[in-house]
Amino acid sequence: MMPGLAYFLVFQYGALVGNVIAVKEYVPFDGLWNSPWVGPDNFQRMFEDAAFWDSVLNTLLISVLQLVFFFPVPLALALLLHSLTWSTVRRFVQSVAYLPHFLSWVIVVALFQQVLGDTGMLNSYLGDIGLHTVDIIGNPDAFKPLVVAQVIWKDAGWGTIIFLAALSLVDEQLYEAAAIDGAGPWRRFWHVTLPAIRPVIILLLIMRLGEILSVGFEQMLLQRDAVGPEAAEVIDTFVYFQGIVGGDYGYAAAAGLFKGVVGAVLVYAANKVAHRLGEQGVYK
Amino acid sequence: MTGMSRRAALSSLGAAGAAVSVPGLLTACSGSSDGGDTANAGKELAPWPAYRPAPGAKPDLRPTDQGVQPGYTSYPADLTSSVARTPGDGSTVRVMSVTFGTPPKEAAQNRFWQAIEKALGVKVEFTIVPQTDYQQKMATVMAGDPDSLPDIINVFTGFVLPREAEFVQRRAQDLTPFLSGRAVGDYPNLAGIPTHAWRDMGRIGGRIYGVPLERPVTGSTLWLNQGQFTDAGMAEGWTSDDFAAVAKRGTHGTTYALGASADSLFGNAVHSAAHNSPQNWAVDKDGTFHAGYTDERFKASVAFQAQLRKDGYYHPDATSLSTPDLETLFYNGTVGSMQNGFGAYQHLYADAEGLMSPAPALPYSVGGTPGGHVAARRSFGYTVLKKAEKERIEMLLRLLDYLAAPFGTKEWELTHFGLEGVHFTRGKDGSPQPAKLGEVENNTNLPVKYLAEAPQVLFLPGRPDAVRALHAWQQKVVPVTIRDASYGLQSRTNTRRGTTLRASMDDTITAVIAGRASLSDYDAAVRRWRSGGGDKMAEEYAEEYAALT
Repeated sequence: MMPGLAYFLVFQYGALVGNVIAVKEYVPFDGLWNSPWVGPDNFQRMFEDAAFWDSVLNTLLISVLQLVFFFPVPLALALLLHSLTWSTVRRFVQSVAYLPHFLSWVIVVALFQQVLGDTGMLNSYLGDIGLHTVDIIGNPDAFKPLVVAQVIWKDAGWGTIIFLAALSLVDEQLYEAAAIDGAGPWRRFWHVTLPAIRPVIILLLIMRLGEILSVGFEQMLLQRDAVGPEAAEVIDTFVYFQGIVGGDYGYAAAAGLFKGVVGAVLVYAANKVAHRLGEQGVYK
Repeated sequence: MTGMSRRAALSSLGAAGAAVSVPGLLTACSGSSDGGDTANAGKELAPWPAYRPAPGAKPDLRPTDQGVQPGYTSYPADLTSSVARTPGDGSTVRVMSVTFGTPPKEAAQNRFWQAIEKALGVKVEFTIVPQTDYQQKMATVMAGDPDSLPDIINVFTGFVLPREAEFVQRRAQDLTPFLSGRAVGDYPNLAGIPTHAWRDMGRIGGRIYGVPLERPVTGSTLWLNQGQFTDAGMAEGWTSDDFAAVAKRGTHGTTYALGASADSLFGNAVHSAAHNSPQNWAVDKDGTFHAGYTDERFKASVAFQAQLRKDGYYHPDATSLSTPDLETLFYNGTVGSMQNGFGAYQHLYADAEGLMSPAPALPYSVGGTPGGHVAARRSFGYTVLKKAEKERIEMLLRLLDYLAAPFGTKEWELTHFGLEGVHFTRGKDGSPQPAKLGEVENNTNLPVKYLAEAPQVLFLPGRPDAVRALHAWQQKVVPVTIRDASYGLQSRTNTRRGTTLRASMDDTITAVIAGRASLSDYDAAVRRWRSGGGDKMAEEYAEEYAALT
């Protein structure tokens, strides 16, 4: 118990005190306590800063796209894997699907560039057969769908793990009983599978809502210069460029704090809604 | 015509203004307790180190007061020695610097590194930061623990580092007692660094904190593939229309007339200077500061580049290429030109050997007004020392003094070419020719030249014709250089917000040229820049300027 408690005190709650720089003009050379207090200045500047709102908007757009297009993919994939009866094939497909999760973003981004870039595989092929080339990499309009596609490619397989675990707990007798009662595959899915794994889906959805303002840092940072910050700046990269690169630590802390507070409120609200609907949610 | 005369007036004013700072006449009128103030206005100004040229070889192409460099078409036959004894005390010295090349082999396997350590009499632990990581790396080092700072840090002025002046003032050794006025005489090679370099480095709170790296006045330069551009119709006296026509003829298939590296805004410096736009800041007769961003000529240069980009003359990766990658494309003919520092000539000619022949471009004219050229900050960067005891500081300064030995000395030869028979051999004319090992072990990979260096001269081993061509080019370009009037001046707003303000403008300009944003977006960005701190900077610079002139 004590080591766990110490960990939380030092690395979680202790570090929270650092958020005080959000109301300071933090100068690293003058230290945490000697930097001047500026009150709500950083927040005021932030709310007036068009670049900040651009980053919030980009984050939300990407998040919503991920929620709509990415979130269902692991579920569908898990159902597909679950329906495979030959376990050798199933294990092989599972391994192949997990693998991309272990590639770093640098490699994934490079891979997409090699395939879809101006001089990549796709465009070389289109050029060779005399068709128009497509402008995907470096095109700000295509950026958001592109990053969602990258996430799907990389993490869809990995995302199936929890669903598969939930699916394995569904009582086989229920399927048999439903089949005997004349339920086809679709009805069995709708009336047996889905109700059984619904708590897990809701749990994951709530946790995803808490992270609605986090859409991946490395992935955006690596591709930001190619399309410009108007399309690719998200809150995390905004914090990085203002704070670490720009040295405006107090301002960056204010933006980070904003993100944390919004995330906490969303988790809390979503959990409440889940309870209202009679679900277990994340916590009681 | 009017643009030309205005530019000429501005640049001469800038030069005159900076040349007559009278040290010692102003006394501090504010309380001395405000240790946090980096401004020079209202402070007692430490006199610049007394300039005394270090004896070196005599040039055969004459320098000018305006800034044409001394040229050497041959290597001095008799090398002198400018440092009498080993400067170091056998201790370990931790060093950090930017590099524009690839990292070196480790010290144990690097004979150049070992030779430098032996000559300096210290063990050198080198943290080498690639240019593309420099801003991030410096930001974290600066914000980190003061005890873990390296002993010698190169502060490269090509970037706006966040709170740079505050960092230097709080964390670096005040070198005024060691270098100001006659004190610099203890370090004869540092005394050989001309006043214009110290002046463009500038004081912080009236004090001297660094040793500048002197550079010629010719700044960012458009380097051309001479054959490619001549074939495409380039001729002296070209206009902006001619430039666009040449770019068009020089672009076909996967060959692009124009190349640019990330963060160079598609090589905007060259184009804005050709449009005679102020370079960052200009000061007028009554001491008012004007930002280049707000100048119509700057905007015109951005619009011109946007058209070139739209017409497809730029390499598609112009916003993401690193300088070394761009150079590779330049050598293999994929891009016909690139913006790079003038100093790049030192490796361009050798690296391009047998592939193509590089040449610096003359600026094109715009609307009948002859084009200008970027005036470099005469201090490319400066070296600061971690706070230490007097003896240690003196030892570190002796190391810098060694590295600043002038052209024509044995010390210069070692720091620039390494060991004879190991890193270089002598050519027929006696000049050092890099050997196989010298290509991987040199002062680009181990950038000791960014810690301290003598005033630069025009010299390329075994290439007298290139030296003559560069010298002739400088004579044409030096008179039209446009100086940033803020060089050497402090602005509190710049040190606090300059990095993010600049980054935001850079992003917008890149977006406009790339066709992702319009010129009205540019106007909006300029308004944000002004209200976010630009106008305040103009006031602060004007105040400093008035105090220093």
